[in-house]
Amino acid sequence: MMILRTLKRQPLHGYALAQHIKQTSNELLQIEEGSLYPALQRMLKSGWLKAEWGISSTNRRVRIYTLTPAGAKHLQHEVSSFERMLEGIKRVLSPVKL
Amino acid sequence: MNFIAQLFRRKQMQDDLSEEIRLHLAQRTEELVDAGMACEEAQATARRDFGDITQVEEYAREMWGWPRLEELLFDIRYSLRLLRKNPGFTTVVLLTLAIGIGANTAIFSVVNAVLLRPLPFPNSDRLMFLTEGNRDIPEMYVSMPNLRDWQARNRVFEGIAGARPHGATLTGRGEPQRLATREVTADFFPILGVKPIMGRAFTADDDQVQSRPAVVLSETFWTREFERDPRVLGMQLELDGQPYTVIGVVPARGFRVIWGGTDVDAYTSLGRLENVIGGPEHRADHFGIYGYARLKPGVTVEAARVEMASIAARLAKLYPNTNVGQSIGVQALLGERVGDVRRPLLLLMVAVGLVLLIACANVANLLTSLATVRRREIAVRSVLGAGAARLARQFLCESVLLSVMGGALGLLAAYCITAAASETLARLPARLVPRFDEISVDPTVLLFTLGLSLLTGVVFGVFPAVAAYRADPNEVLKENNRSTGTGLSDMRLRNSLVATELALSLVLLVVAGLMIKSLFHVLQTDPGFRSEGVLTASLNLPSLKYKTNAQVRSFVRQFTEKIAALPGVRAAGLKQPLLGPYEDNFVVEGQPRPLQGFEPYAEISVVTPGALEAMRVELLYGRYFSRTDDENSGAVCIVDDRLAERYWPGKAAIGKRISTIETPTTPPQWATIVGVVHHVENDASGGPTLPGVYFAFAQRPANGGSLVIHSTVDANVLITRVRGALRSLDPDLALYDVRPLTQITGERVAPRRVSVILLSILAGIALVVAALGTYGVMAYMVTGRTQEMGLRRALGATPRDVLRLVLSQGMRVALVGVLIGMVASLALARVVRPLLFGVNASDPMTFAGVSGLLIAVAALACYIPARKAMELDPIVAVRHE
Repeated sequence: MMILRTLKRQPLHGYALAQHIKQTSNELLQIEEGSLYPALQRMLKSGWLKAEWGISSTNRRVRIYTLTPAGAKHLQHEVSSFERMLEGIKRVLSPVKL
Repeated sequence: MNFIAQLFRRKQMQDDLSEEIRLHLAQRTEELVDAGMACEEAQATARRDFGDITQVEEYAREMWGWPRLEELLFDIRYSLRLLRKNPGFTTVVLLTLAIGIGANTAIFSVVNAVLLRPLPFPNSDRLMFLTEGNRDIPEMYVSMPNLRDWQARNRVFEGIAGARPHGATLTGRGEPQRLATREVTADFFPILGVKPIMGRAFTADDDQVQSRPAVVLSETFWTREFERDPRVLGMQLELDGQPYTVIGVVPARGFRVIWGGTDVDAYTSLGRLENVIGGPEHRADHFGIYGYARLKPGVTVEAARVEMASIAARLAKLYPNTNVGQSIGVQALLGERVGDVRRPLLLLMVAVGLVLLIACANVANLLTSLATVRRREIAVRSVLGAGAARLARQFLCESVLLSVMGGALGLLAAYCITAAASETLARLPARLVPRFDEISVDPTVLLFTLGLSLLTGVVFGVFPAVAAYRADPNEVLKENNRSTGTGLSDMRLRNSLVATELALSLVLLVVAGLMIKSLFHVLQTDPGFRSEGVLTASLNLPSLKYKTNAQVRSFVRQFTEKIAALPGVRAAGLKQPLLGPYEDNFVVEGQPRPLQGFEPYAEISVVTPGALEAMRVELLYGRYFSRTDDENSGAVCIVDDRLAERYWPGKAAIGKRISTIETPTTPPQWATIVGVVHHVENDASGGPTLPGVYFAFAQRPANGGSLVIHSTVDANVLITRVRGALRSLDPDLALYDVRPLTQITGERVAPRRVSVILLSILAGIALVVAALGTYGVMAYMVTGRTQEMGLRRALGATPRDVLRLVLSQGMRVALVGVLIGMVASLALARVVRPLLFGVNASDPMTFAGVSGLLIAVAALACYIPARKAMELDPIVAVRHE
């Protein structure tokens, strides 16, 4: 979800994506950079992303991932179901109104 | 297309990923170097942060590929390599499987063609065969008035047609020729769903008493006689001296089965005979008609039976004189036609199934041996990370590969067998074994073989697979290099496989033994007549020309006298019918008359003087018929000893009188018994037979019959002379069905002979395979225990002790197998019983003999390895490996 959301904002290449996730999560998510790639592969196969070779801002050959319409739709779905879940958790955790 | 695209894409994806990872690492390293890290350290850190590259790549490969398929391909490649490395093993296994699967395929192709494949008519499963029946004769012809009542009253059939076998002499087209014809009601072809190739079939207008005579030709006759000339329509054909107009041609396909193996030439109307065979006075007369009906859609056979039973009950109330005790039989047309061969065929199917099971047990044994040899290899693979399931799959792959290859060979063998068999069987008359001309390897058979091969592979592959599953690699690797596999559980598995093989082959041998014994009994049974040197031929006198009994009598008398006077002829006469069936009720003078409809039955035939003599039916008392037993003298008859002993036990039957029952109301026409002859078996089925009564032809003339000529002359010479004699009397008559009597009697036992031969071959194969299996296991055990044998010898055991050791171990297994086999045979014997003749299904002689044979063979199979063990040099044996 995080990847899809990041890519919705702008197409990115793998390395940048890894850095981005690291920064935005304030280093909270201590994941190995490598584990990003299997996730990307999975999404490629599901058709949520597409990948193209291109040149990065630092003039490197990179593979840029872009969100597809199907991916956007999936993200939409994921977000809404996540929000519903959060809503549910909130209700359970909020103090009972007497 | 898609497949190739995906294959290409997959490779691309993997390459892209590797490249991407490389670039990722490069960028990271560069950043770290920029941050002031040393180059090598930066590389290491980049890798560390990234994690396991291989794992990521692997993940991607599995995701984009078909790992299962790849593993399977690998398994197959691996299996093939293994099989190539063990050519001896592979050959033995493939041959065993080819025999097992081939025999099954061959028999199944027969079962498929004869029992399973539907008749070639639309919705043929709804076609039914209707008969009358009573307590004594479960299936008999339908009388015309009853057929008409069934047609009018039933609500379960779309229609009921009547048909009866007939024959007609075609004249006016060169030599007179005899045609096999059928008289059918107009709805016969519509009910079967058969459309004419040309012209039309009968309509109701052709099927009335006053209708003009019309004939429908069968395709075979149209082809043979008219070379498929369409101008045949409208042509006049002279049948039995009467002109018939050709109105159509119907296909021949499927009719050979319906007509019991006869290729019918032409069809005429049955309804035109309504005034001859129909009407209330003929309600109890059975003129050879059977009912052919089509169930309405959705109506079951059971429902039809219930309906017809209630019709039979109503008819019995309406016509108590004729219909009391008469039932109506409804059965599937195909089932009725192939009913006689169903049981023998199913028995053969079971037999080949057993042979395959034995083959499976043997192959399982071989595979287990191979698996034991490969134990270390497997243990190593399993230590290197191959899961137990993965290994079991490998084993199954090997066995299925073997069985599929064996199946392919078997299919080839089956194809050759069926081709050869149908060629042989084509020479036999088709009526013996219905539909044998239809046997072929069709898609159903192919599917059966494929399924069977796969199943076989799984069945015999399970054993080594389970063994591999259970084996603990640690234990195996810790074992030293000594040959293993003599372990207790392993040996138990092998022993039980051998016992199973022996038990199954005992079952087969018992069945074959019982059938052989039955065949001998049948061959030894006295049929009551001698067929050697007797020639038979059929003759029909068209009623148009031979209108009166006087004409028939005078012609038959002249003709038989002419033949009897031919050189080399010892005796000759006419008999109608030749060998049944023609059953009729009779009453005995002076005995209380049984209830209406419960009179006893006898096989009736009419004979001229000379006929019984030609067939050498033994005369016990009194005399044969003479020329003076004619229309002017008192009615006489000859009965057989069965009838004589039943009514006048121990007393002379000569001079007593019996009568057949014409109609219930007519007074008996007493005939005086002038002779008692030996009982004649009209068929060789071994079933109960009716007593026989013979009447004098001159007193009961028939429009035809079978010539029986006992002579010392060559059959071809004789028949030419007989034809000459016939031509001099009436050039428009044809002799047909010219055959030696030995051929007829030989055909009577042919089906039994064929099934005995097949069963014996199968039992023989089973015995050999089981013996090989026993030998294999014993030899294997001896080799595995060479060291132990050596030790025993070194410690003072004599060679005889070693021999006894090996033999006793083998024989224990054999005895267990024989015992299990005996129990199984006793169970199976119930299925076989109806096929036996003169032999009890649990015949102790057969059981004892077969068990003895099997034990002897097993002992021989054990003796060879035992001898080898006995002859071992103790020193060499101890040093063995």
